[in-house]
Amino acid sequence: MKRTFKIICAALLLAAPIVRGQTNAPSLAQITATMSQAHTIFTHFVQERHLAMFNDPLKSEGILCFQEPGRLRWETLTPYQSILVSDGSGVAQFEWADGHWKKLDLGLGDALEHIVSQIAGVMDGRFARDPRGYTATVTNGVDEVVVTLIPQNETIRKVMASIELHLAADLKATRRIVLRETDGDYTEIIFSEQTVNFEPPPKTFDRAAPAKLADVQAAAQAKR
Amino acid sequence: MRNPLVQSCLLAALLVGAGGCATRNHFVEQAVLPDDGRRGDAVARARQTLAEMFPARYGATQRAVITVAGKQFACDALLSVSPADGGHLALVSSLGTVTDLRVRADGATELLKITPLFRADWSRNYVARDVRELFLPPAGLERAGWRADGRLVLQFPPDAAGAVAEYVFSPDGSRWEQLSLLRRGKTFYRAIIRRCSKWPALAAAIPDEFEVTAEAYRLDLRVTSLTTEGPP
Repeated sequence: MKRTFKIICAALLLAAPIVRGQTNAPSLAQITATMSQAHTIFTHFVQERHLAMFNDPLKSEGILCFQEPGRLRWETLTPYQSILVSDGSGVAQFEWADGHWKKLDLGLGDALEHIVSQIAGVMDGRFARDPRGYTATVTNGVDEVVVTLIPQNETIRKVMASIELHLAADLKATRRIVLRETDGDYTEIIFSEQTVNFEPPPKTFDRAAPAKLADVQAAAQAKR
Repeated sequence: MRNPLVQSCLLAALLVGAGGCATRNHFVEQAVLPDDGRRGDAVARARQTLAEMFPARYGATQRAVITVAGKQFACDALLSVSPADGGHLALVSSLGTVTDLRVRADGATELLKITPLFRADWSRNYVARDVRELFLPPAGLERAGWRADGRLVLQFPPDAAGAVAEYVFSPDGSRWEQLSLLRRGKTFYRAIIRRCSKWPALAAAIPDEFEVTAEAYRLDLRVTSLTTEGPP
């Protein structure tokens, strides 16, 4: 998990006066109402962080599992294995090394928890309900709806140019998030194979010993 | 909510503050038996091992867990190495880019991006040092002696600050196993090579997992991908 989420969070919490960029584009209220119907989400992700001074991006893949109101599991599967999990009251991180999971004695747990809560806000459409610091434009793309958030806060605008949320045309899934920074760096997260409203197995979000991914995947597949 | 810069400053404060007040790591000094002038073949092989350790030009991604004052931070890194540009490293955390720097072929450090997450002198003194010592090994090692267990020790002459780099190899010189930096005979930095792996497009295995213990931090670092760029 990367800077991505801090920026998403900053944007989505501070939120925004919303502008409908196209008359036929859905309203933010419609987007929120549709997205909030997903009480649990299981999705594959590919994240690429593009740094202007490097040819190749930092790329990772994994799964994101969410249960409202604030349980979240961000599990990186490649090129390394890592789990960031929140049970809604705290956050834990695990790294796979030497054949087993090692729980980190995490620094800045509060900040990470805050970030995780904001990711949850993205997943359930909460971002639209507390408009304060960003302007948002909703436009229809090719087979998608794009919400573009522009920071109003001058300090934030120094590092972040925009956040793009690319939603499925029926608004029921977040397909892609692009975070564009002012120095040319950007992060793209592509979601696929989404399952909503499945029943996560016990301990999916356990901070002491989270359930095995295979069990979570099986629960998601059973819903498909 | 806290904005990104506030969060960044929190990390910076924690890391920098920890650096100032944390208990410093202690090292068990490892005796070096005097060089007896024998086993020249092992010495030659060790020099060759280090010289041919890494491809001349490559790119790598890395995963690191940094421990400072008992707290751990996971980071990703991008490393690009070439004869002309030296080593270029960007360190990225969950809270943003930590640092972006280049260690040039002549050993000089150039900070390309200074962020609120990390003081410039930390990047220059510690991150650049890790890049230099782990991924840009020097030529011109001199014989130093042997460990009691038979491992070969070569050293690089003192730098301007009086630090000596002590390289430990397997007895036959075929594997680089450890690096210590010492000043006035006291170790202040030690890197243990925990694993070597064979990567596609490389003829031989290279070190790709390190355990570093330094003044006030510990670094567990592993290479997660590696590609060669252009002709070696």
